Amino acid sequence: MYDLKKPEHDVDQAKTKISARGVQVFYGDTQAIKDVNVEIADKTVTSFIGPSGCGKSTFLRCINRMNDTIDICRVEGEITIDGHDIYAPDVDPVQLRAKVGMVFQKPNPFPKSIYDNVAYGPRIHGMTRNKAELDEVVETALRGAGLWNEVKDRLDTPGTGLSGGQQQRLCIARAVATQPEVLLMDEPCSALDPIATALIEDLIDDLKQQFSVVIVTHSMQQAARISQKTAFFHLGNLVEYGDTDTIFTNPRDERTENYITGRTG
Amino acid sequence: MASQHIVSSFDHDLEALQARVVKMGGLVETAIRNALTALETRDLRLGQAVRDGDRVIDRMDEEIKSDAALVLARRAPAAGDLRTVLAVMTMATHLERCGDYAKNIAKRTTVLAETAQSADILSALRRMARAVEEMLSDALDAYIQRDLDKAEAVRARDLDVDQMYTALFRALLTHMMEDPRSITPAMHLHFIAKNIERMGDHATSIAEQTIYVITGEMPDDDRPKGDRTALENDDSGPP
Amino acid sequence: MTDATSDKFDWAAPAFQATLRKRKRSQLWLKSLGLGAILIAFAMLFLLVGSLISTGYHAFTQTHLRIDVVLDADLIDADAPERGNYRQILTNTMQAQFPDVADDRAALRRLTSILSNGAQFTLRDMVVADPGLIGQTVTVTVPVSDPYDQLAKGLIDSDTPEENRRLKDDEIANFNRLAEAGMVSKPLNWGLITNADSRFPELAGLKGAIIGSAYALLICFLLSFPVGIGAAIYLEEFAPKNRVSDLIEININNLAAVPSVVFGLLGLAVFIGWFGMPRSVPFVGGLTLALMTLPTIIIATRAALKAVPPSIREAALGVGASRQQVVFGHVLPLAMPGILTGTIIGLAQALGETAPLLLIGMNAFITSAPATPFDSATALPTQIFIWADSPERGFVSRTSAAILVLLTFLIAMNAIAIYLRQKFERKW
Repeated sequence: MYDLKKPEHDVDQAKTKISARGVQVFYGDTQAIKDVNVEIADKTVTSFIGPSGCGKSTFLRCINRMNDTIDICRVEGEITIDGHDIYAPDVDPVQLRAKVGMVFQKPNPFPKSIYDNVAYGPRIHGMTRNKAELDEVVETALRGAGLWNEVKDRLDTPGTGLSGGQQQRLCIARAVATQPEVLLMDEPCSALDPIATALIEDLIDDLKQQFSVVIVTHSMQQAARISQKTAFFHLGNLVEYGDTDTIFTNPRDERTENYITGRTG
Repeated sequence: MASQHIVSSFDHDLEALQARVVKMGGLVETAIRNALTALETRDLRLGQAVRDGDRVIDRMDEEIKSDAALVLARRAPAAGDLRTVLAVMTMATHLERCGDYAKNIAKRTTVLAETAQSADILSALRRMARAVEEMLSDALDAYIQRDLDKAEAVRARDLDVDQMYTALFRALLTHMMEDPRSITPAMHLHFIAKNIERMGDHATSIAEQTIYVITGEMPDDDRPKGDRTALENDDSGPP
Repeated sequence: MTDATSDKFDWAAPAFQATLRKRKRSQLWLKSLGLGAILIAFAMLFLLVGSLISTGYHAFTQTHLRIDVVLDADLIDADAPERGNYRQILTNTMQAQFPDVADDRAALRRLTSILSNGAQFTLRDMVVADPGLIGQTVTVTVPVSDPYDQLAKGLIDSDTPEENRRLKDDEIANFNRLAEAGMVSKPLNWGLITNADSRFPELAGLKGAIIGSAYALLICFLLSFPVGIGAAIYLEEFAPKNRVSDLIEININNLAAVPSVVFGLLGLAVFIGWFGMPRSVPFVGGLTLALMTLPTIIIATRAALKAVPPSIREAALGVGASRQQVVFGHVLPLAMPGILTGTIIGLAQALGETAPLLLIGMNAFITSAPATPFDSATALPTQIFIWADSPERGFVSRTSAAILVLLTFLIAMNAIAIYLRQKFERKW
């Protein structure tokens, strides 16, 4: 088992995967993110917490340039993955999104078969040469998402016919199938029951062996349970960022304390 | 605790928990005082009352533990709230131990009541008990007021109690060497002194919990220690 | 909270009960008003369809006369059967049926006029097809002319004074004799949809109009469907949201509200005036209707695209699909039922449109069905317009019948739209 208290002792985890410097995001004239600086380590789970509208989801969507799809959204500052600026002109957002997978709040499988859902990414990127290879990629992804045993006999049934938790794991499998280096999760469990949530949390714990996971969550208990690093956002500011155990037992900033202990003010 | 919880019943739960531990502290203080009074006045009935009263203290400890468990389960407290609940549980344990020591002192009173004791020793014990009682009371005050300085002061005062204990230890040793017949009462008196000294340590621990609640960190274990009896290597070492 | 009992609301108080009754009453009012509105709408619909059926049902049958015709070899040249004097043959045939009628030209013509003007052509076509029939006697069933058709259907009352009647007493007597002889029949009038237009109601049919409408709709669909979907996809998925796209959007919405006659004028000026295309042809009609249908299809398509949940777009974008892959791989298939429904409704609208077709001359009198979209033709609504304008009594019922045919097509198209929507509607 890993040592929750001192993740920096692990050489692999100390390596910075994503680095943001002076990131500001504007929606038209409204500033959604104000000067965020953060370094996200490789092969760790980092959670973003904060009240609604604090900008945590907006910042998450900057990491795979999902905000590009919104016309009025403007991103300033620098975000690098492995030292490469992802907003550089030569970076193709389509390719970036294959490398930085994303799982959304509401399970959103395509209205296609389970197999086609997982195979979609590898297919459009031409990652496999033949059907046998694709089958293997699909199986690996579904196994990785802990869904293989539940669906292996009905891969050709619609993905929308699964339960909510299974759908969300299918979405994770779909994201994992393109072999991402970073997995972004935007409140992945907010629509799920506690059992399905526990399954996903267990899965996140496994996934962080392969890549860094960044998760936005409204459940502070969830952030405390699954993440090694926690960032607290408030009114577009990154108020506090540090080890999860410190944030949840002894936060430095009063705003963080008030938020995680459920106080007004 | 500048602002209030959004869920007001959470505030209520925390307040109730802390009020109970303060009340328990009051009972323990009374028990210490009464145990010493019983010793001085050879009041067996008061001694019995202290021994009976320990059951109330034990029950309060259990109640605080189960209430704290409920708060943990229901509210999943974090940060300052979590530290408060953890501190209350630890403080209840310390107070319960103090109660046990007071009960032990009261028990020994029955034996010691048969003979007259040295007034010097008794007044030294009385002084020591008063100091510990005040430490306990100040530690609880510091907790309620979230007063870091007061808590640090309580920690520092443990040195005085330790020194008083060392002095008493030597005085009792001298008594025993002078008059072997006094060994039995002197041993009992020594245990009483040791009990009071331990209560001082528990009061210190309560002050440390207060510091933990306020700062989020346990104070370093570098405070001055006055109890040198265990380290002395001369022929007057402890049994 | 000191004295809660005295502040407590009394749910049983008469004042409250009164407001409760008032609320119930106003709800009842609303419900009955709504019900009344629906009943009125239904009554109107029944009135419309009922009046159409009551006047139009006559046109679905046609009175026929079955007679033996002697194909006199003297009157037909075997080398050129198409130039035979079939009219004389029919006159002879009728004279044979009524030997008592005086042998003067006027009386014989009146006798022959029992038969439809088209009867001679029916005979001609038979003989041309099989010249071996010349000199033989054949039994043919031919339509009777309009006045006798009206008589057979009871629309001419023999009790009205003779001078106010289209048929005189002797004519009625003649026809009754034929009827008593069992020669008159009233089969279903397939001619209504298998014949092209004619001056004679008993021969007039909708074939030309139906084919003309079908060609026009086909052209309209082929043009407006891809263009409309393309425009909608661009506006909805790719166009930057700025003042120009806002302006385009407003104009498209306005275009949908422009009266159809304006599109007719546009078609007339552009397609016929500038490009010199022929008048009265379904191709131009289709182009003009496409202009009119385009905004409807664009608006319906945009609505259908908008209705696709953003989560599907996000999901596809999230695994690295390009915008084009998102639109064509996910959004468009999911929006298809909505798009098809909108398109069919737009086409149904186009099918019923009259004004623009009138302006480009599709109300011409054309007695043959068009073979290609570039042949002159009428369309269903313009055919109705022509018939409604015709003086012959027989066209009254035919106009209603044609309207019923048009309505049938419209209902069928709407039914297909509903079927598609229900079949492909997805839950996500």
